[in-house]
Amino acid sequence: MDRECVSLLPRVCEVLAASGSSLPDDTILEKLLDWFTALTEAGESLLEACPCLLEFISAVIHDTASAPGVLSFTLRLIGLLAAAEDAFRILKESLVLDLVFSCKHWQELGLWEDPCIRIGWIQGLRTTLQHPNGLSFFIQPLLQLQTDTSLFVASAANQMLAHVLLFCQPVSSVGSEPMEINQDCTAVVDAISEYLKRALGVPKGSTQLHQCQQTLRLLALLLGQTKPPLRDKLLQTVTASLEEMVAADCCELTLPLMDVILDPDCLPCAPDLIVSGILSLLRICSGDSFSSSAGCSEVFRNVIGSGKVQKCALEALTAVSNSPDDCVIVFQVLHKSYQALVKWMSVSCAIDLHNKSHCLCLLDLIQVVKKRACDMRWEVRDSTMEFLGHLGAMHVCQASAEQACDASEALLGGCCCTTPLLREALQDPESYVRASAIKALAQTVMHSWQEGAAPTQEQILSQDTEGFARRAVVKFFIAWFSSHSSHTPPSSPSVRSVLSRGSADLDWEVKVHTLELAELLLDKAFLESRTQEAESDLVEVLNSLVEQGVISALLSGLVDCDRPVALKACRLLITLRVTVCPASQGDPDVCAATANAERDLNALNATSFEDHSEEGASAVSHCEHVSVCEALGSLGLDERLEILSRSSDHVHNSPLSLLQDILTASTSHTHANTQPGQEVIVDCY
Amino acid sequence: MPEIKVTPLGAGQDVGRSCILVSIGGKNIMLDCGMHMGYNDDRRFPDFSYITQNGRLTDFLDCVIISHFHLDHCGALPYMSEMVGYDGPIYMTHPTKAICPILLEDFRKITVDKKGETNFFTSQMIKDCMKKVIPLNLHQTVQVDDELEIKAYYAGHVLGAAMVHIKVGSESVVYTGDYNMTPDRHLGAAWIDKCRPDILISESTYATTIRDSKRCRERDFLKKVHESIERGGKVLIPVFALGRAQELCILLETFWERMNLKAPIYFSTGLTEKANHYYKLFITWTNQKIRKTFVQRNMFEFKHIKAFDRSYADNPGPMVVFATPGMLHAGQSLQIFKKWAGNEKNMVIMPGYCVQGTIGHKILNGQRKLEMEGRATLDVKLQVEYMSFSAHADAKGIMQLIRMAEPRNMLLVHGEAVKMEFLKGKIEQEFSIDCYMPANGETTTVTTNPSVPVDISLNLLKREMALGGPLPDPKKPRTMHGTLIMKENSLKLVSSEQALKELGLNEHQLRFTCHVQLQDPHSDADTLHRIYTHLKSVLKGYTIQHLPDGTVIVESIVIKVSSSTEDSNTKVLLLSWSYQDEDLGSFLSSLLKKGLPSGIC
Repeated sequence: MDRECVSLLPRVCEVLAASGSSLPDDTILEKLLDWFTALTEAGESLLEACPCLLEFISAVIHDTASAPGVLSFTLRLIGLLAAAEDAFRILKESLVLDLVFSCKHWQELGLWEDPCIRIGWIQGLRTTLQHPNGLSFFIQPLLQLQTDTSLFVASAANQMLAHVLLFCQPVSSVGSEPMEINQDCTAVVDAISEYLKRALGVPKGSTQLHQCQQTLRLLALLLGQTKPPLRDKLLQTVTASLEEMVAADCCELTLPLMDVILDPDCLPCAPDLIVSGILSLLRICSGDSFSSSAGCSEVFRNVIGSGKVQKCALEALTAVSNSPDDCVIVFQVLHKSYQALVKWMSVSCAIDLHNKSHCLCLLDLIQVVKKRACDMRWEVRDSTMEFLGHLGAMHVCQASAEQACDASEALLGGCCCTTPLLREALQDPESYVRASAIKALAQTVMHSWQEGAAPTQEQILSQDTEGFARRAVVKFFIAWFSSHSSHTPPSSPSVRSVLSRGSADLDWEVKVHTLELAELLLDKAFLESRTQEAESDLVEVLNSLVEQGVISALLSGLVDCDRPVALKACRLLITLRVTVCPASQGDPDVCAATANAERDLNALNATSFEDHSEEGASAVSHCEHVSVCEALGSLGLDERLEILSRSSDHVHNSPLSLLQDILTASTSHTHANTQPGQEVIVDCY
Repeated sequence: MPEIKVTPLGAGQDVGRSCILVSIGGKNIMLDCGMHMGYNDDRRFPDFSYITQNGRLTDFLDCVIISHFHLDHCGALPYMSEMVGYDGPIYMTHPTKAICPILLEDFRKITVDKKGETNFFTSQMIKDCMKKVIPLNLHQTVQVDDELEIKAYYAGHVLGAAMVHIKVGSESVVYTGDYNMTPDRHLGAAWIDKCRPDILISESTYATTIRDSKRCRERDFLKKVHESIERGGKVLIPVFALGRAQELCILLETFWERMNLKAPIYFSTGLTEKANHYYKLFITWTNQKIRKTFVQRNMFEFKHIKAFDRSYADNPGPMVVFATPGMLHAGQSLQIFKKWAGNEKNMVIMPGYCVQGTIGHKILNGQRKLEMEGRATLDVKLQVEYMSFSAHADAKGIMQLIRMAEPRNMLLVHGEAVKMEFLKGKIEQEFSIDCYMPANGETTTVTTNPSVPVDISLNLLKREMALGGPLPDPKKPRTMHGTLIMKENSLKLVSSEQALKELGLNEHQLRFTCHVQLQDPHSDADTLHRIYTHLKSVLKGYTIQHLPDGTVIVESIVIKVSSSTEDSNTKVLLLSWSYQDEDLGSFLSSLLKKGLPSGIC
């Protein structure tokens, strides 16, 4: 444990013990426990490191004026300490355990009514049960708490019972070696089985209903975690009751019963049966299918056009095609249909354009897409654009010609149909739609529409008010450049302009994507130069990188206030350093050879750092002429990387900072100076 | 008895994240789905496993309703819908639907920036979640399904904030979300019908306070900014992209205009453009004054407030900068703070809540030396101010709303236990209704006494009237006899003849028959006569006939006598009556079982 923390802890304990209900922030106790837990998990003995905790515990539990929140915290802390056997013994000897884990004690104090005491009690107890000491002693109060009025208490009691039972599992978790069950454990297993048997059954009245619900939750938890011998025993105990409950068809129990009975991983029957079932259902929904049976007509009347049914059916279809994916009814039906279509097209690969029925289908699809692309609701337009993007990204093979092409081309007639739709969508008032259209363009027209799109995209990057669209633009360029197969980078001033606009964006994600683009250019440039193995080429490469604005983007990124940007830039500059200055400590020949690049880099260094001067940068900016390697070396990249790799709140979210905050808050409270502390707490954000 | 159950998963006796479950008439509704900004892990979200394990939320919930765009009311929505999994309907007002994703996006960016967190929702998830949202109009009843209907009312507080009336059959609940009963600079006061809900679930942030008007706080704010500018200082106002920021911009803009101030005001983020766009778009949701002046000048078109560039921070001279994020924990606001902290002429104004673990929290608590990265320390010399602009109803406002809605029960959430306790006492005393304040995870159950509306046919009413008795009076319940028909979701009380006619049924006669054994050593005919005489003396006022075919008839009851085959002294009496005379029939059978008195001839 940090020495500074150890020195602050006694005072923090005093503050907490005396705090009443005036804690500066409702999260601090939780965070303290987090810290203690982390220390315990790291193998540290808390009591040894901070003996003040024992005094704190004794002060709090014997003070009748202690706030319930602090008591609850203390109970959990005791549990955490008692998880270690030696601390358990110490606490037991000092009679703390017997006192605080007796419900009676709290009932007599009139505090048991407060759910936060009960939560602390049970959670403390739960952490205590890391060793077999007194397992069965705790079982009865736990069983009683199953039906506690507080969901939180009941749930914790639930989990603890499961924990206890798993602890007794007669098979070790490692292999199938049967463990010796000691007498305590069989008693525990029997007690729990007996409880399950008693508690389950068709409920009469709301108390019993509540009990049943809770017990089913417990059972679901147990069945999910136990292994065969114990699970079989449990199942044997409860099967009869479960059958009875299912037969009774009590709607409040349906959901928990489903949790118990259904194993989410197994389908009730063969997938193709399900698929054909769903397809007929969908056909009925769209009014395509009629049955002669008179009894069915009523059902049909209700189902035809039902959005809910269609949604469920499509959902099932997506699920069966084995992809866990997301999905207000109309939008979702469309959304789902699109998804299902994409899934199924990627599954059933051959699309035969010569097949007449397929062609008719495609015509329908084109009509639908065109209509939906100008729907009033942005949700629909956006899903349509996403659909086009998915199609573009998917390669299907045409049965007729054995060549691969993207699905939108195969299905929607490619550029002649989709491109105008997508271009139109670039002007959409809703930024989500614009972004999806750009994304779709990046995927769809890769093969046939490149340079032409660049100016529009650049315009969006410089003018669009929304981050989504601008992010998509930079990604568009990434996709374009990375698909570019020729050795010369795309000969366009747009590279420079994208990089400079992108790295000056207000949205840090645009900036990160811009750096990804820079990375791409960097990789390409050096990959090409490596194949040539000549020093003059290195100079040329550096020159071209400067020309394109890659170096400038990296440097401006490095001093960015948003950490992910600075981190990315820092990593890239390190890569650059490794590439340009192989033996980083200085091979003067290499440096000398890159004189041209140096000049530009230095000039850029100077301007970049003037713009956003930061410590470390000044050293560079005042030099007229240093080598590239020296310039890169002077940036202190390794130190920066270390700092940037940590989260931006690591200093202020540390245990030390927490302890300091508790202490300052308490002094500002007692001095009651200008801070209207109460208001700070209750203000919303 | 039908019950309504309310279980807070958040906002029960605290001001954390709001998330309240309501079960009413077999429907389950989630009210708000908020996030706690104080945690960096899953504890920031409500724990939905208390509803169902395996995340089958769609099976359990009939709908989710979001009251307004603050993150402590909507911040967990994408997590719930996209990560836990919920596909059912989500309702919120138009402005909330428009603004909510901006805030979520803003917060996502801050969170991911801060931690590089992976277990957090993505932009795509926010979008997919918003696609599930059905927008609500004020005062428009929306039918969630055949039985469940909801209606939104104006709540003040922030743009688009709504209270919602939830109704299933005759049972109903009102949830206020956060609300404000006094109009402020850009929003009106909350209002609701006298809808007499079974439960009114109200926020109670300022349960014990009578707050000074927001106008005073605003004056105070302007004074502080002005003083700082006058002495050449720079003022930093860390804000979240939307909400408070727009309010303060209007304030400063008008003040600058009025005072003819020249110092520049900057806004550091591009997000506000969209925010301002929405404030313009939803002008009807603002208060009357803004709507009126809108024709001449749109309040949200700022003349003095310009976009910020990071190089401006080093410019000499006074300036005011709005920068994100709002708690000084990362990004631009922190960078500017570091630059300006060393100068006592400068000022930072924190217009909102700061969680522990942020620089905002530290400086508000008075820390003057801040540890920075790499063991560096930062001396905080600039002036630190906290200003609360939150617009919640105070104790007076809450009582006013109760008078407006006239609920049968009251339930307090979104407040501190001690303060709630005080208000609870006051409410119970003044309105003589029960007031509940469940803690998180605790269920409050309220038994309702739903009145089931039944139509009564005019014929039946007329017939009742014809029998005499008072005219029908809703305040004086009375018993009526008739046949209750349930048809197509409606109940109707009609005369039995009409019921037969409407249902196309024939009337059947139902007769009860029983045997009674009797010791009577006489001939059958004599016994019958003795019975006739006996009944004549017992049943005064009834029509009793002794017919020549060997039967005695009392009203519809027929009595016949025969001798037992084994013993002629034992008579078997056959009694038969129609169901209308069930009472009399049973009486007769038990009377005759006792035998005939000996004195009869």
